[in-house]
Amino acid sequence: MAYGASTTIDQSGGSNSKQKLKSKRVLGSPFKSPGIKLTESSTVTKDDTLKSPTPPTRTNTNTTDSETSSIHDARAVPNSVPMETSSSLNQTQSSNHASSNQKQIITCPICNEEMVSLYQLNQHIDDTHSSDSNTSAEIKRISPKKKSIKMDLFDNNKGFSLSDVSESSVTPPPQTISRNGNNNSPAHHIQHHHSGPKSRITRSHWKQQSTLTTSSICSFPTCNKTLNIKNGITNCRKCGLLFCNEHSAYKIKLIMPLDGGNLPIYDSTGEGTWCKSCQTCYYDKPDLKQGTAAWSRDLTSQFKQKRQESSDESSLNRNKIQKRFIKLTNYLAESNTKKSTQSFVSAAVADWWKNGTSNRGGVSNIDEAEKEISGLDNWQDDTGISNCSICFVKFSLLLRKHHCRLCGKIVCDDPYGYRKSCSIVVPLSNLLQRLSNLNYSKYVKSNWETTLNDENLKFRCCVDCKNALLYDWKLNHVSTNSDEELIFNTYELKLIQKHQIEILLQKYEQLVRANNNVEEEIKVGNKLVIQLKEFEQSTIQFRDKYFNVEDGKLNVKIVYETYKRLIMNIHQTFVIFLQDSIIQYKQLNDIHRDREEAKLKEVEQKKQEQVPSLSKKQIRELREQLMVMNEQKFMVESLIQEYTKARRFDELQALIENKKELAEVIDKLELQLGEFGF
Amino acid sequence: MTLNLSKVSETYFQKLFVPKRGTDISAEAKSSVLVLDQFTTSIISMCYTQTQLLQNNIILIELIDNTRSFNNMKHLNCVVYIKPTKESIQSLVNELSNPHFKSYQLFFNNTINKSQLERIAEADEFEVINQVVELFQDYLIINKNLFTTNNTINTTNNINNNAIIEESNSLISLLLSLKKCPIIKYEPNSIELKRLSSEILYNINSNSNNNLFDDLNKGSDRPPVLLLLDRKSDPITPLISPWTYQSMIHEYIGIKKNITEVSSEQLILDEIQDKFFLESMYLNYGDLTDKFQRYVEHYKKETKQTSIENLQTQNLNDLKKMLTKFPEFKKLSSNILKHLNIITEIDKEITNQNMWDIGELQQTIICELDNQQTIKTRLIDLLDNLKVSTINKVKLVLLYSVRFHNTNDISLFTAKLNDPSKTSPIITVTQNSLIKKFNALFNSKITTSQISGDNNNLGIFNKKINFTSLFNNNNNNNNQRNDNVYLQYVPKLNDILIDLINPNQDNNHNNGAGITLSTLVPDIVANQYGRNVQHEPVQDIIIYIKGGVTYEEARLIHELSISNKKINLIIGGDSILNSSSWLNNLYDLVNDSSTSDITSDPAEERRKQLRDLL
Repeated sequence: MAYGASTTIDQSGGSNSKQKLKSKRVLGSPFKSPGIKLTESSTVTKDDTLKSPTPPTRTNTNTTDSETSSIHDARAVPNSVPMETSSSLNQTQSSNHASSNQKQIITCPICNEEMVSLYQLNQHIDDTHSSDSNTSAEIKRISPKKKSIKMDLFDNNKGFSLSDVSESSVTPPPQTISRNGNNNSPAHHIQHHHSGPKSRITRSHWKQQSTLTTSSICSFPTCNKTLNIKNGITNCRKCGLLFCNEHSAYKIKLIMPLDGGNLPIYDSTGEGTWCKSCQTCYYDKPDLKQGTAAWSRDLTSQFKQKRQESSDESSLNRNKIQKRFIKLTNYLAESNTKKSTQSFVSAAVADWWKNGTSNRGGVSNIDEAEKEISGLDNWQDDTGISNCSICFVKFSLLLRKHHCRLCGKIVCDDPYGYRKSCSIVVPLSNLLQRLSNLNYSKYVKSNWETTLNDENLKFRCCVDCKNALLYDWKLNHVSTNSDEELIFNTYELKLIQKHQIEILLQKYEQLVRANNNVEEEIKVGNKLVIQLKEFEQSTIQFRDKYFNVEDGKLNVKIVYETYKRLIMNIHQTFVIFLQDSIIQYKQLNDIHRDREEAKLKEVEQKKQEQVPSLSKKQIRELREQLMVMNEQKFMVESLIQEYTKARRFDELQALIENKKELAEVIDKLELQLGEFGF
Repeated sequence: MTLNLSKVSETYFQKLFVPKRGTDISAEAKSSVLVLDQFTTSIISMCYTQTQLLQNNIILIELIDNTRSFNNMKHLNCVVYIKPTKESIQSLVNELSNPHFKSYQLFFNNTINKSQLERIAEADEFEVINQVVELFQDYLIINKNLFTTNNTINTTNNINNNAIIEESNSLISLLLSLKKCPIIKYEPNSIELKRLSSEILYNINSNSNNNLFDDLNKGSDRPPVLLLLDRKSDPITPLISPWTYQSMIHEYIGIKKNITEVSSEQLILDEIQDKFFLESMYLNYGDLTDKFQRYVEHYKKETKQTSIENLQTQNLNDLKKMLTKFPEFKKLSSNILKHLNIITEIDKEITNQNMWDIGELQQTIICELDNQQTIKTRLIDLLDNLKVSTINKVKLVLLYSVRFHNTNDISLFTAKLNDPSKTSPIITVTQNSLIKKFNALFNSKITTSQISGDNNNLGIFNKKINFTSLFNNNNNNNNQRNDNVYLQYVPKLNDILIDLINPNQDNNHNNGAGITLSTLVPDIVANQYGRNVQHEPVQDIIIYIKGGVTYEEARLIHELSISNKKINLIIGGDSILNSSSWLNNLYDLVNDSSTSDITSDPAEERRKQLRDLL
């Protein structure tokens, strides 16, 4: 049952959720309820009124309100106290109807039209007086209620599978009452539409069955069956038209629209009702209409957002690294010259003192100044670190720890590491060459040449910092190859040609298909031919340039070996394109030419039609021929008859052919003779 | 058709290779390089031809594993289409740190998680990526109604966690690509299916937080069904020699990723490109040869009209026409040649293996078209025939043992199979134990299903009537088919599907399939349709047979969906079986089960030995 199923409840679901709320409250704590407008069966209400802040009077009014509304939903309510009253009320009502019913079964109470059956009356009222909110009509309309239900069951028996039972069980008898009642007042009307699952699929749009004298036919476009008991007579619940059994043996889920529309719409929730439908409405279902919906999800914006975040961060980082690099360069250059001035006296001593400074890449005793460049806080302490911070390799006797002079992290220099050498000793000159525009100190700038050529100047740096440093340089310096450049230039040129041809072809096709602008057609056609020829020419040029022909096979010239695959593929692309478009052009051109020829013929025929009249002699000759032919035909026909009697079928075929030919000749002769024939 | 896989591949092709008009991507250089990984390579190669790619300006194809060997080509755009595996993403990150191409469009063939996306975003320092799209095709499309999961790991030996996750990912991608959020039905007596189905359910429920499965069934009044079946519950279908074109190719020559190899020449079988194949793939042998003959005649007629000899009398115009048609003819003739080769090869195999007799007997045994005594004598005749290959004999004996549980007969047959004067290579130990254990391995499942349904001819008859009455629209086809003595056997899948489509029909009496399916309903489906949605009529069914599907079953699906247009069906499996590959799987199974009995002892012994040593 629909009610048991709908356990998920929209708290603000409108008045229809009253019933649901109630069931929830019985299960759960009363405090959770919205507090007002809840009318409950006696036991619970006592409870409720004690706790609820709303004055009792108001609850009372609400009670009456809901009672009236619950009349319409009597079926769903178990035997709670107020409901009993309502259902008894209901009973009296229906008994009233029953009595009134017996008096006037056959005539419509509104327009006094005579009806054959109750079912017809029901439909008649539905269709003709459905907008009528007249109470008398309401009463009458309730009376055929039971009958209509029977018709529902009857429908089910008519070639419909058993599972269709759900239709009748979801929309049980009292629905009719509720529907009729709803027409009374606007308030109820709204309630009706809000109570989505309960609202019955309307029948107001149903096409009437024809009367007994004229029979209707199946509305399916190609069917044309007359509708009777044998073929079946069924209204499609969606479009309302009448169909035969074959074209109405479909099932769809329908629901009345929540926004108050009058016709049922397709449903894709558990709320709807299974209904019979015609083939057209079935295949019009949104999912079937759409067919296979291959899905993909575009993550570009999400990705770009994330990239923005990280790129902001990394650009900050790049700035930092760059600044440190400038400092380091300044320091190295200056300290180096100092050293070299000292070196005459005590280079060896100084070396021993310093015990291998940075430029030797020593392990210990690193200059405090160097540490300062990366910031003392960033300079990682040897003791706590046992793994490389980039590739996480464990340090050992052979794999030594190294500090990156720019970021201060401890990294390995394992040449087989995960990023292949997490750190290297970079000659300063290499970097300076690429980063010549940075804001170095005056000293460095003035001694630019010497620092650039001093090979002793180097420092250790991790891969990350190196990449960060060279980021801008990489962005601007793209190594290009002249061969590659050339290939791509020609390629792009040809792409443009190709694009033009595509456009022209399309245009030409449109023109040929439309066939109303011959001049333009010829013009575009000629243009196309020229373009195609050019394209062919350039393809040949391309081939000559990059390929050698050996034994009838194309081989890429050795000079271009690195781009072999590229060139081959490019060439193939163009050859395929050329072939395809030439074929397409020719096909179009054929149509074009055929049409021209047809025109020519027309003109010629017009000329021929003015045939000179035949001379008397010719007429006589032709007549003689015709007579001979007719005679022959007669003979062949008699032969055919004979053979069919004798059942000599193998010879029959030839004779029939013969007869056909003769008939053709006769036709021709008669045409020639024209008015002079017999 | 809401389930059409070729539509999926078509749409994805558009997404991948055809630039959208008016976007800045297309305004720039249009030619691109396609970068794939090992998984997507096979996906692409099965769906699209190289010509198609070339036509859309894909002028290079590279593998993502060797980014280091790429040439720098800043003129080219790059279309990356990879499966979001650890390795592929690592390679992608490497490539991004040092981009070789101008700009990148990223496509993944399955869902990618947030951390992966973040990782790529961080790696894209140079901001070369201008598009990131998830496509969902972590499976191979064989026909428009047949798929296989794209697993490289072979999992014949019991439960492998990763394999099941992979499998469920594949199926999830299938569901997403078709935009379906299904209820899951599976055979409860298979442990693997239980795990697989709960994995899929978990995936759907957890992904729904990602909104991936939200609103997929919008517009549909009933949820689709994902039907998970186990090959072990129908071990017979792959044993029976098929008689329709595609199945026969697979049985006698072998199809691998839609490529078959005849006399060391690779032939592509593609229903989209090859119209003859599309029309003939489900035809039985007789119809196939007729059809082929007509095809050849058509070709002859076409060529005769424009052949060179005829041209002498005709004018230049016709010559021109013929020349423009020439490539077409060439295509046609090469296609004819291809099918001619295949058909002759099949024919050769059929006569060599004496398949006409064997096939008929197979059908007779399994459908019990004759009484047991005659079947037995006929079987003995064939078993005595030295020319019949051992494997075919084994298959026949297996079928017999399924149908008639007569141990005396079976031991008589095995004696014959062990007699070198009657069977040329006598059966191996494995084959022997397979014959012995076959019933025990599958016993419960087969007996309940086949015997209850088929224990007399009337039973079969009833079933046929059900079949035709269910698909009542055009049953001439089926009637014809029923006349063919080689096509009597209908896979069990048929019964299962009929039960599923018409749940009420069979409930009280003879339940044909004998399988009660368990059902799992994802939260989203339950929220949309209510809890008892499983009892409502079905429209879309996606079938997955774990352990391998057969082309015969794909054909069955095809016929069902033709005769009942209301139902959309597709089928798939983790592999496509023919009788020999299935027998190999069975051997493994038998060996496993036998070793598992024995291995406990040697292990103990070894332990003892170790203890002694220590």
